[in-house]
Amino acid sequence: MSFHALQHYKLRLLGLAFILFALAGCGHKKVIVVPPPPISVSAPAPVVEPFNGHVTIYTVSDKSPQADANGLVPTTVDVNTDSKSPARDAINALISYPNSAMPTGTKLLHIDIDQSTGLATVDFSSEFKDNFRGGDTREAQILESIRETLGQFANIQNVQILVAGKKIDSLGGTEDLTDPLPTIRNNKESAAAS
Amino acid sequence: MFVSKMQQCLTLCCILLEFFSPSVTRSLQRRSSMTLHLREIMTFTVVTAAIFLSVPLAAQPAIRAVKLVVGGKEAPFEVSPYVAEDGSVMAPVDFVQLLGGTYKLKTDGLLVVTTAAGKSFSEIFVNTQNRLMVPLLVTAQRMGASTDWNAKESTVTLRAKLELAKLVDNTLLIATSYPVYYKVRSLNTPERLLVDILGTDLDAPPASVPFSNSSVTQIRTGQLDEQTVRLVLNLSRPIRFEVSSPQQTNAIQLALGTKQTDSVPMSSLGTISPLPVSSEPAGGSASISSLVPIPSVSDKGNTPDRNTGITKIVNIEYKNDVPNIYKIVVTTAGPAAGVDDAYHAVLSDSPSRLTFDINNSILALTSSNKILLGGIISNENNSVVSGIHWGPGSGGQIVLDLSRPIVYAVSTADLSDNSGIQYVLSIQETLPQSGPNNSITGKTVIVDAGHGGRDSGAVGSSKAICEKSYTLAIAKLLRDDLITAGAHPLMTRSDDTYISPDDRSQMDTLAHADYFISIHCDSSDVQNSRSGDTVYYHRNNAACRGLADSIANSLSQIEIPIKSDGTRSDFVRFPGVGFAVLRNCPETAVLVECGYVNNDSDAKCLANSVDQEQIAAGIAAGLQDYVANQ
Repeated sequence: MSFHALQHYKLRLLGLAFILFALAGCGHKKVIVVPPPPISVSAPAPVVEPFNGHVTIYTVSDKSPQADANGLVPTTVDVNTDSKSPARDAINALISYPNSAMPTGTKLLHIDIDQSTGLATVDFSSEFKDNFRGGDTREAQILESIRETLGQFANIQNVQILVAGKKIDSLGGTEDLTDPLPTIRNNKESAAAS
Repeated sequence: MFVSKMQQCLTLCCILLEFFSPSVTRSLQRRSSMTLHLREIMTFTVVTAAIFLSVPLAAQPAIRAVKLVVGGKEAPFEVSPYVAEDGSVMAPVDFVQLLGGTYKLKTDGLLVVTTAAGKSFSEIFVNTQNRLMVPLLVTAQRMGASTDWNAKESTVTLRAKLELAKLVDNTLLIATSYPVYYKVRSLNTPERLLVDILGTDLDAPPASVPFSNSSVTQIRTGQLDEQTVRLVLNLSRPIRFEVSSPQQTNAIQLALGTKQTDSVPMSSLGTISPLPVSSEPAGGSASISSLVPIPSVSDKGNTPDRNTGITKIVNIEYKNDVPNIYKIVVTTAGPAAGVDDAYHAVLSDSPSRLTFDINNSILALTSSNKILLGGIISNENNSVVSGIHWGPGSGGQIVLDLSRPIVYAVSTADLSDNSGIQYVLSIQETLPQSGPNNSITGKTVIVDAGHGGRDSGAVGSSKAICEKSYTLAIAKLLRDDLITAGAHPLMTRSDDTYISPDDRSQMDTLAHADYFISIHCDSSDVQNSRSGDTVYYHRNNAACRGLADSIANSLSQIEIPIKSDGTRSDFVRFPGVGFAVLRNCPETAVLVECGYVNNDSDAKCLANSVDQEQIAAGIAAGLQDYVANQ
């Protein structure tokens, strides 16, 4: 190795060492960030197709052979093809459907979809909480019907449920609603952007 | 610290690489300077990534264990505090609970500590043996503690600071920087009131305390011993007082001149602690042992009844009305005036005994006193107090034989008619150390009674059929079964209180529990359409599933009309997330749906106390089977 090459090495080493110590300095006081565990979504996001006026909602049919473990079945309903917010229409259809698990008198006050994060914020009227009756099964049905109904829209990954504009701890005391819940994808249904 | 060591190591690797691969570097140099640049960037990236990836790696195990003394007592830890390489003392963040604080690990990775006064701050931490370790001295100071680090004895002593003491009209207020235990008693000749504040540091030199009360002639403060600050109120005449603050508080309040004289209520001894404070016997027993009488410096000259010089012990009673708490109630006769409550209680080993001695006392029990007749407490086979007898001579010394290690506390109170003094010796068994891995002994089990308070849970055909009351009843029975089995159960709620799902799992995390069992009942869409019990496990967690299988198996063997419906993943109910209490529990956790409240047959059974006992016993047996097979 020539003298010049050695000099070059030394300079580079010095530089590298400097960068490392600079890093060590800021790394030392750094708060260790433990990322929250990833929330798994049951299936990959479906393909986006043009909105065809049909939305799928999930309603209670305990005796149907198609019913899932919570007693829910998919039901297709028609909404306006020109709908500006199919997600809003779908939730409203879910609320007003006769066999809905949704608490009676619930109204959808507001729905907001953040296109960059895929978070839908769904704000229900106070009846959603006040008129909740039933046990763990009913709580599971309500949350599943909302998550699965919104899961048909490719641009919604998570849903934050609010009641009268505010977060609530829980609907029926079993599931935590302080953080968003992932939507439930069901590949059999056609997907659309909301 | 390990981080800096790792960095040094990587630097060295990098230097070695640079020196030992000159030919590679030269050939790269010849090709183009661009390539060289690329290579440097790559090396830099790899090294940087390695440094940051190294951060969450487990820290080296404790090099030098450190004792932590809070409230005059060594705090028990599963993972001891230790001195890190940079000289700072790291301790499990749980210690903040001993100072009345709480902590929460946020989803963004920040560890937020909240003081008893409600102030929050974030603290850096490292993960050692699955415990969040924080810098002890800094954190304690931020919580208002005065800290003392004795390097020679490797001991950190934390004390609360006395922040305020004043007497406004009839109310004595004493504020400390975090909640402490205290003891109040009155003495006479001359009339005084003593307030001993335990585990507290008098920052400023003893000073007089402002007051405006005609019965009080002087108030003095002083550091009685290293751990205790004493307030002495000199009184012009005998007055009564009433303690109006909780047993542990940062704002002691004493109402003077009120109608009733009483000592500090021993309220926490009356119940099993409803909230887990620590996985170790910190909560309950720390409070008890810290109330062991303080050596008195100013009690000399307070002799018993001046007429006879002798105190008569007229009654002794033994009580075990609360599980795990044994009380010996000793009543003395004679006018309370002129009688000091001077006594000695001494714990001794081999044989294991607690000797309780009231100064200058004699036994004067009536013949109907059962303890006198029996001599040995025979109705409690497994009592921690295996016998009671009297000391040598004619003195009133009471000797208790102990079958297991205990902590104890003594409280005294004047009888309401001033005819004597009642001494209550409260004895609690210290929780056993964790037994072998295949034994439930010493294991911490969170028993979570579902719903509660404004959240009634499922309601059956009438409002009386209510999930929250069934879950509480079964949970309490399960707790009792687990105590009998030698486990250390903690309840998320022991009364009709609302607790959010998030707070329930937070308790589990705080307690470093071994197992979490949530008790629920279900309800179906149509009356009588469903029945049976189901045990849920989280996702497809093998340990949780194993426990669920074992409990379901055990439940299928009990003789109740509710059929056993086996086990299911909680993803069946809440796809992709599961039950919040199971999802957020780091330990082996299951949720038992004991039956359907809207099924007439199930509901009848769920409301029946005998069937409730069967269900609780079935769950306890399932847990024991699971642990035994580990």
